[in-house]
Amino acid sequence: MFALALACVGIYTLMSAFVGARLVLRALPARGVPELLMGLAYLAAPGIGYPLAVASTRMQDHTAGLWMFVIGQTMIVLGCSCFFFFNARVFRPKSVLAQAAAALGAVLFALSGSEITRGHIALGVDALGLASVRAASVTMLAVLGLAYAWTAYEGFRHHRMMRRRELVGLGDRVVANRFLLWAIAGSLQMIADAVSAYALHNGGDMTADPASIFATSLVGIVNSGLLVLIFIPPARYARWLMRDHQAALAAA
Amino acid sequence: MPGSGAFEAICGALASADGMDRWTARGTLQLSLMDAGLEASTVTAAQLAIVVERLLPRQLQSHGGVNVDAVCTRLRDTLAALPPTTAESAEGVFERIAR
Repeated sequence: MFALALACVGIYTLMSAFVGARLVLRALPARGVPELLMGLAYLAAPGIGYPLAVASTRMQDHTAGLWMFVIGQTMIVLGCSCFFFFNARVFRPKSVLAQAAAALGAVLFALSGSEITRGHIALGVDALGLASVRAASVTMLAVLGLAYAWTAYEGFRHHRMMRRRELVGLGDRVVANRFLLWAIAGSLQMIADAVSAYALHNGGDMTADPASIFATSLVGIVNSGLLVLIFIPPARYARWLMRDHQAALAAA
Repeated sequence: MPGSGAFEAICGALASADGMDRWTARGTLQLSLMDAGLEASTVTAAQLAIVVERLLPRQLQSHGGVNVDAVCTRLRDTLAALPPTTAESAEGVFERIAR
């Protein structure tokens, strides 16, 4: 069971690293800030940060393990913050409130990340025994859940708008579907975060709590598929989405 | 929140039509944009041209004393005179990310 869960999360890690690196590499020459933010969000947090933080606890060399944890935690804070800034930049570019919310989210990530790191340096894997580290972990998951909730809200809102645009000949059905998949991925991630935060809040350990492991691994495998359909969609999928449209054109 | 440059430009043009004022023009355009799934803050001139062609005439017909054809022609001319916009949209970003 644990091996299966680990495989699901591992697949999500690999997919996130691949999609994130691809976006970052394409963003740099074109100076595409949205692609850079989204790429860093996937590459830094699920692609590099989480695996480093987990692997650091298995290291024989204590100093190397600590450094791995610090780098991993920094990458998690960076990646999660990029999610907020992507939402603000792409969906609410003229809203001062959205920019402020993104900045506040990043500050909360940084503060909770530094407390988790401080506790880990002092106590290692037993750091969750400290109330402050547990509170910081719950805070980080709760704020991340809010970032995903924002993602889901914007995705569903834009999907609805794109469907309306399609009716007047303005919308692209494939892009509309991309917004929908993005919203579903955000919703699932938010649920997984909520389950883990609940387990942590009630004194559990999210690496041992059955509900948390089930939610994280299930969402990991489903979201891996969604990442493929959003960022590297097979041509056959796009054709399938357009099937009614093409039939209507042919009939006309 | 203020509208995009194109939105504000045709708001001004519509407000100067007979039987219209600033707030009526803005509200009428907003309703047409909602029907089209667009937002005033990000709508482009190209998108507004479609709205003026396909949705606005129906909204304007509910206002008595408005010469719908003449108003729509004036709005199309206003939009055609605007410089192309380079503002980034969420739709544009989501179109690019999978290329």
